[in-house]
Amino acid sequence: MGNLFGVFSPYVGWTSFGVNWSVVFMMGGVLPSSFWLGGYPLIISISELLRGLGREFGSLLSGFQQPGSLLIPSSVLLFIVFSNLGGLLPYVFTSTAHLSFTLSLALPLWLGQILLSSYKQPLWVLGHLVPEGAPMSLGPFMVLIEITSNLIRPLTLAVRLFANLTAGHILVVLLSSTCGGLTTFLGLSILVLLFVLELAVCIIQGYVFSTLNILYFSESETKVMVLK
Amino acid sequence: MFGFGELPKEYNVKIHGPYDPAVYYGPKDTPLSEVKLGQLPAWLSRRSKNPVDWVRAGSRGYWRWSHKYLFPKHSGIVPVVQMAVGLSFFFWALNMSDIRKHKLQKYHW
Repeated sequence: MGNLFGVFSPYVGWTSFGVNWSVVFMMGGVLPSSFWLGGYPLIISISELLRGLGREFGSLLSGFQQPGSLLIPSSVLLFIVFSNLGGLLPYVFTSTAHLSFTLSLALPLWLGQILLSSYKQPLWVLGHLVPEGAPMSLGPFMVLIEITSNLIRPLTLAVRLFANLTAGHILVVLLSSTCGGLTTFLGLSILVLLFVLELAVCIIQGYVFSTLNILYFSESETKVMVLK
Repeated sequence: MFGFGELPKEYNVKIHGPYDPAVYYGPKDTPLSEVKLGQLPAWLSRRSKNPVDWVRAGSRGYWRWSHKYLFPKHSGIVPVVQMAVGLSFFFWALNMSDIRKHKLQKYHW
């Protein structure tokens, strides 16, 4: 890597296509299928975690939880967390530190919700552009603000994840450049603390992404939309 | 397609019992660790030249690793560390052509 952002480059010198993107396919192999009926310790612990998260996600769906409604948020959470944690390993490419990747996660999820709710209950969607309790004189402005806030959701979802991961990696690269001289001990101690922070950020960002997805989904969902 | 997802042709549930993806059910041969150096060309010539069989061999190796390190009740953190090291090594090897140039650089990021 010849510059500060070289660590984010998916391209390798010996080929013209981004071979580093192959990490995306490997994230599916992090939780292998079980051989025995009871599962194995790693998948049992992750299942327990998902069960707890499922209770929390279910409460966010405000009573309109259907069978399978937590599958997408749970799998997106695991995928993002494992991609983020993999990026902390030496030499491993961080796929979530690219806007193209995070946007390709956020945009279909958001667009699907918008299209579904617009198709099933267009009047309800239009009616909710003016929040309850807002004065009618502010109606036109509220509509514009609500439309803007709705349209900007996929961008915020994608940029939040991308910016957090990119900033963390850049900080690590910059701090590591201080090591090797007189400031090695200071640089190393700050690096250790930063690494702990990065671990937390990796998990929290995945949690925030999927929680916000559930919130946006629950906002667009009513009893009319419960599929039979 | 190519037999992926299907049971091996040599497998017979009445003879071999429950299917284990880590076991090779074809004709038995000397394990590589017991092959003498002079017997190596003959041993290599007996291997299948079909890439699908190479993928199957890799799959069996993966299941053998899983049986030994992942599925035991008290496996601990070992499989996680091995997966992490394996992933790091894979990407180190993949990016070696760029990493090798770091030594020649005046300023390192």
